[in-house]
Amino acid sequence: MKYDFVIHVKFAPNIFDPQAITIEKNLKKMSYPVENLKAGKVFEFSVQAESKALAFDIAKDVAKNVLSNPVLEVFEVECVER
Amino acid sequence: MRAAVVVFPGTNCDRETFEALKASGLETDYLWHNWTSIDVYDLVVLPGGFSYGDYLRPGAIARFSPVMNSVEKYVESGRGILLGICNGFQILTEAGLLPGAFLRNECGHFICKMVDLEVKAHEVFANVKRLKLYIAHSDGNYVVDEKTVELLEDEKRILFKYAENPNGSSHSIAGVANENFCVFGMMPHPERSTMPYHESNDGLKVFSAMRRWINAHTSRKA
Repeated sequence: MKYDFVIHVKFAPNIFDPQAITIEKNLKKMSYPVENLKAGKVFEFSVQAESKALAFDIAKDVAKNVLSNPVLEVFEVECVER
Repeated sequence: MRAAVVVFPGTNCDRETFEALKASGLETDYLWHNWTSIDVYDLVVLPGGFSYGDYLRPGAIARFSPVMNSVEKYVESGRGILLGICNGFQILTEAGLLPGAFLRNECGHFICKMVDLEVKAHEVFANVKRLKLYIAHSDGNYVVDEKTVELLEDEKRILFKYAENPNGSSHSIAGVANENFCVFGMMPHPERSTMPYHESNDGLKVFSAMRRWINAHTSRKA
């Protein structure tokens, strides 16, 4: 079976992110009432596996070992229906 | 004494590093990133640039290239010294060979300038106290947790600190060593300060320190 995943990677809460700060500052300059902006990355892929649980483990491995750096980032794995 | 400069797709400081190593009296070769026999070298350098476009994170993809497997074994064997400069340092943190990770510079933009460095690892750098070297990076903001900083301080593994923190790095750290002092990572570019026409020649002090260290601390056969 083929399972579709979306991985969200963002900076851990204690990490200073100049990109998010610059975006937020400029949104405020444009008079948008926006705060607590976070920037991150989104990855989508599908996994061939025998079960959803196995596919989920593979997706989690990818997110943990490759797509994110544990020193800086946190990730969420989401299995989506297509 | 033999040195190798590893070239990843997107490395752009390989030529300067090659010439700097030659000027420092090392017989030097280039190694393409899919090369796996590196045991003949006393010093392996991962130079600066943008390996694999720095996609994902700087160094994140380079760490999975075939040569990095050999590099990890090389480190374990104690055969020689591994030096990561700039992007090379980023690769070494991604590979877990050195602690910490890199973020965008705190100021948000690329910085290229000469900086003053306070040398901390006096044993490695034989009484050199200060160096003037170039930095050139977007992601030079070295992040490391306080517990690790304490460990690095205790074990005297911090090589250099910026005299004035240019990029937001934790405790102004510009270079570190691993626990066995056979893996070194530094953000400044020593190879850019090695030639008579360069503004500073302090890079030569870094490479000669590496030479001395190889003679004293590796399993190299004289």
